[in-house]
Amino acid sequence: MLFEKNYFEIFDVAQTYDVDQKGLLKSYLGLQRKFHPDRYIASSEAEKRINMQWVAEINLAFETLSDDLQRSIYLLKLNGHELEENPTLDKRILLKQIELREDLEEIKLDSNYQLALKEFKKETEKELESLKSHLKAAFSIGDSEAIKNLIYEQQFLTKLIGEIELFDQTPLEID
Amino acid sequence: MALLQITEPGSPREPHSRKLSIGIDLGTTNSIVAGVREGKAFALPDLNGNCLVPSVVNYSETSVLVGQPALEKSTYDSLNTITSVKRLMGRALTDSVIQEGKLPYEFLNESKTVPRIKTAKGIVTPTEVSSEIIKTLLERATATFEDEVDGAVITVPAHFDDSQRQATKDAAKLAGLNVMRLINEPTAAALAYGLDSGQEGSVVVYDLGGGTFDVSLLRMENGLFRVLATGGDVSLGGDDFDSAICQWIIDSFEIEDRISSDERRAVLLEARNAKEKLVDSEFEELRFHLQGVDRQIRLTRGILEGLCAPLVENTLDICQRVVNDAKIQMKDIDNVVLVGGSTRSLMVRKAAESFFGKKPLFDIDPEKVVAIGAAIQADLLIGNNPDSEVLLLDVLPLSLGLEMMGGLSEKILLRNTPIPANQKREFTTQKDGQTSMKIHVVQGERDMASDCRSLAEFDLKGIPPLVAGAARIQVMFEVDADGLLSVSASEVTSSVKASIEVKPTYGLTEQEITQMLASSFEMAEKDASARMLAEARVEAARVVEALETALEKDGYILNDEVAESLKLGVEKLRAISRDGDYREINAGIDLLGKASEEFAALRMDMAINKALAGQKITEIEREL
Repeated sequence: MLFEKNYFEIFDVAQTYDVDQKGLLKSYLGLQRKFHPDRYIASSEAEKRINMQWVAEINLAFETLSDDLQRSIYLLKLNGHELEENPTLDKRILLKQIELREDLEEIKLDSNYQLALKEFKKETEKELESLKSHLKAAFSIGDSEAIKNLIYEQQFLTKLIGEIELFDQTPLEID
Repeated sequence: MALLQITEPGSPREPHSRKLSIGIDLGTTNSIVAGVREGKAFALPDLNGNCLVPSVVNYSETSVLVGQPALEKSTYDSLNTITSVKRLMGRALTDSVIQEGKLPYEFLNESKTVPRIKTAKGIVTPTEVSSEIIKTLLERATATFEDEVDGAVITVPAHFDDSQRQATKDAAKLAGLNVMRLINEPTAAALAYGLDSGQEGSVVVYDLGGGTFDVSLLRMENGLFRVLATGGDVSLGGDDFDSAICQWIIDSFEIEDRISSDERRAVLLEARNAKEKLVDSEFEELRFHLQGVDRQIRLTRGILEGLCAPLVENTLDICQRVVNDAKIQMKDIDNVVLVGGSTRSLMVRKAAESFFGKKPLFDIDPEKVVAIGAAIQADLLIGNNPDSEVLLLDVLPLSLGLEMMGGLSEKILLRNTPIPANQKREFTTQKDGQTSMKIHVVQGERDMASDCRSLAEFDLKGIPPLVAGAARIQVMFEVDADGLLSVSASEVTSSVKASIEVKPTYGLTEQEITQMLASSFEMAEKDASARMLAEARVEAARVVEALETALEKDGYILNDEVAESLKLGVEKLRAISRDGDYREINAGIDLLGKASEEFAALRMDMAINKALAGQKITEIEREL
C-alpha cells in the first residue's frame, strides 16, 4: 500500500549513499507532474486527502534523499541502526570541534570579519565534502559504528555552516 | 432526440463548453482582476479603461464604496475610509503594524485578537473590508464576461504567514467566491513571464509592492515552475517610501504633535504623487497648508533616494539570504524579473541590477503581471487546458514549530520545504500522572517562541496517567497546497486525539464567518440558508460525479459488497440533495466521503504503481 515503499523505492533509484541525484530529481519531478494536488482539483474530498498525503510523502522523501546529512541518517535507519541522543564522541573529534568553534568565535569578534569568515566557511565546506567519501566507503562495507561517528561529525559541521551563514546575514526580523 | 445547442454569434461562450475562472491580485494599494479569453490572459479594465482598482473601502451609514470613489473620500473622511487593509489581514490589534502604524481608524479596544474598526456603517474586520474589494472585482468579471465565475485563484505575498493566508481565504468566502488555490505573488509573476517568453533556467522574481516585499528564486523547465527558496518582509513596500517622505515633510513643519489625521492622509497622498512623478522628473515643488502654516517644499530625486535607501538596502539583504537558501551561485541566475508598482522607481531598478549583475526584465506591466499569472493558473485549474504541461511547485515561506519547555521554538517544518508537506514529532510527559499537555504552534525563524508568530494554542487532554516520560504524544503538522496548516496531536498508546485547523489565535472562527455571510448583502436568515443550500447542492453534485466516474473506471478493484454499498451511498446522497436542507446534505457529503476513503486509497495506490512501472519502462527504453 501507499506508504510501504521506502524513499529509494519511491523514486526507483539505487539504495546507496551516493544516490544518483540527477535520476532522483528527474523521477521526483515526474511524480509531481502526475500527482501534484493541482491535478486533483476535481476529485472527491476523500481522494484529495489521500493525494495530499502521498504528495507530502513524495516531498519528504525527496528532501531527505537530496540532503547529504538527512540521507545518511535515513540510510542508517534502513540498515537497522539509530543515532544516539547523547553520543560519547571520540576525544580527537571532540577536540577538533572545540577548536573549530573557538576559531569561529574569534573571527566573529574581528570588526573586519568578512574575508576570514568566507575563508573559514570554505574550509568547513571542504571538510564536509571529504566526510562524504568516508561515509560512502563506510556504507559500502556496512560498518555501522564508523557510519555513526561520521554522521555525528557531519551533523556538527552542517550546524557550524548554518551558524556562519546566520552571522553573515542581517538578523532575521519577524514583524 | 437530442436538441442542437443554438448560440448567437458573438455570444460570450458556448454553454457548458468552458468554465469561467479569474485571477485576483489583492494588492495593498491597488487590486486587479484578470481573466482568459481565447487563450490569452488579460487584466479587466473598467469603462474608462482602468485596470487598477484602488484597494480602498469607504463606509457611510447608507453605502459601501470601493476603489476610486472611496479613495476620493479618504482625505476628508479618513476615519471611515480604510486603505492598505492588506497590512491588517491576519493581524492582532496588539501587533506593531497597528500600534505603530499611525492609522487614523478607531479600533474597538475590547477585541485583543482580530482588529475591529468602528465605521459609520458599524464595526468591520479587515477580512470584511477585503471581501468588499473582492466583491467589486468579481462584479467586474461578471459584467465583462456576462457570466457567472466558476472559480478563482487569489495571490498572496509569498511571505504571508498562516493567519494572513487564512484571512485572505475567508475574505473570498465572504464575497461568495470559490477559491481553487492561493498562490504566491512572485510565483504567479514567473508563470506569466515564463509562458510568454518560454524561458528556461533560474529566475529571481523581485516583487516590491505597495506594502509587501517578496523575492523568490525559481527553476523553470518544460512548463515546471519550481520555487527553490523564497524570502520577504510583509511590512516593507512602497507605502514605507511614502511614509518616509511624509514624515520628512511633516518634520520640516515642526508640528508633529498637532497634525490631524485628515491632514496626515493628505500629506501622504501628496508624498505618493511626488514619488511617482520623480520617476521622470528631477524635482517636484510641493505646497502644503498645515495647521495654519503655509509652506513650499522642494523634493528632489536625491532627497527621495536618501530617504528610501535604507529600505532598498533591506530588500537586498533579503535577496542575499534567498540566494544562499537556494544553494545557488549568483552567476547561475539567468534572469531577474521586476514585479510590483514600486519597481517603477529608477532607484530600485538600479539597485536590483547592480546586486544581481543582470539587466532586469519588466516587459510585462509590473502592476498587472501577478493578476495575469493568477488568471493563467486559474484557467488551468478549472480544467480548460487539460493537456498543459504547466505546474507550479511552491514552498513553505516561514518555518513552523512548537513551543518547548523554556520557551524555545522547536522547528518542525523548515522554511523552503516544498508543499504540501507533512511532518510528525513525538514528545513525552514531564510529570508523573500528567493527563494534559499544552500545544502551542508558532511560525517564524527566531529561536524564542515569543519572538515568532503565535498561530494556535490547544490542550491535548485525556492522556493516560503514567510515569513521567512513558506517554508518547505524537504531533502531526500538515501543510496543504495553499500553504495552510492543520495540526493534530494524539497519545500513541491510548490513541486519544485532538486536532485543530490552525486558525483561532488571530483569525475569525467558522461561526463568525457564517454569521457574516448571513448578514452581508443584508441577507435575511432565509436567504442565507437558501444560499447555503445551493452551495451544498453544488458540492454534493460534485462529490456524486467524482465518485461515479471513479467507480465506473476503477470499481472492479473493489469486492462486490463494497462497490454496491458505495453505489447505494451515491444514490442516498442524490436523494438527500434533492429533499434535504443544507445541514443534512453536508452531513451526507461527509458520510460518503468517509465511506469512500478506502476506495480512494486503493485508487491512489494503483495510480502510483502504474506511475512507478511507467518510470521503469522509460528507464529500460532509454537503456536500449
